[in-house]
Amino acid sequence: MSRSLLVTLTTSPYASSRARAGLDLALASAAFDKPVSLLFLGSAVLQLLDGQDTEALGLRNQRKTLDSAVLYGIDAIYADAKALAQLGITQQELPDGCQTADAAQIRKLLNTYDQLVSV
Amino acid sequence: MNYALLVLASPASGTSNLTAARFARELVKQGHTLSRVFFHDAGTETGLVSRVMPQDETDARALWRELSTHHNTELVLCIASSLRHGVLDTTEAERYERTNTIDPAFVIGGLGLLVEASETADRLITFGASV
Repeated sequence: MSRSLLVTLTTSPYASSRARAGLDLALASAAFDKPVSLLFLGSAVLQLLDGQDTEALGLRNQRKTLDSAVLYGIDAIYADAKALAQLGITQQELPDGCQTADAAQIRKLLNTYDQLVSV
Repeated sequence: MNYALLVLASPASGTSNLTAARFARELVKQGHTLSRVFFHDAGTETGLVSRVMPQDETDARALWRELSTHHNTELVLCIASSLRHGVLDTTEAERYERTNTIDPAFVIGGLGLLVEASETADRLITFGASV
């Protein structure tokens, strides 16, 4: 159980069940001792936002699930720098240890892992 | 080569699910091994026995069933997604006092089965990623 995995998330947190499913997949992979990192592209960076209140939506808080990622042994979290800028999201609103990546760095990331799963 | 597939798309919308089924059929036709297909998120609707497709459209489930019958491909539906999408096997139907809704060619299982397949396969291919 040693192939490294990069899970790329591409959807906003609550438009569909996809964001949740993607994170579940990543956390389960980490729980089974795969080296796993997360990459948030485009509107998926909204999943990273601090202060999400989902009580009125009746949905599980994606950021809270994400905060448990460290406990599951997720190695690294990368956020699309261009999308963060477009949506006006600052580093302070991101989880601790979340790294930003520009286009060149994202290309490099995609070549670093043994396996890629895009959800 | 030994392949594992991850299918995220529902057969009810778009073409990804059917494309995945055709890709799977072609893999075994060309002599590759496809031991397991893992269905996640809306992809779990593939195993819903109550779906009836219009007569002039291709039923992806029939293609998946063929793979299971003739090539022993294991068709696994993620348990959490299955419950959300209304696919229940006998165990889950009893647990939640509902009706069994799974096509018997499919089984319900945990994400660990995807991890296991991804570790043993030479290639893991995803169908139905959002774009």
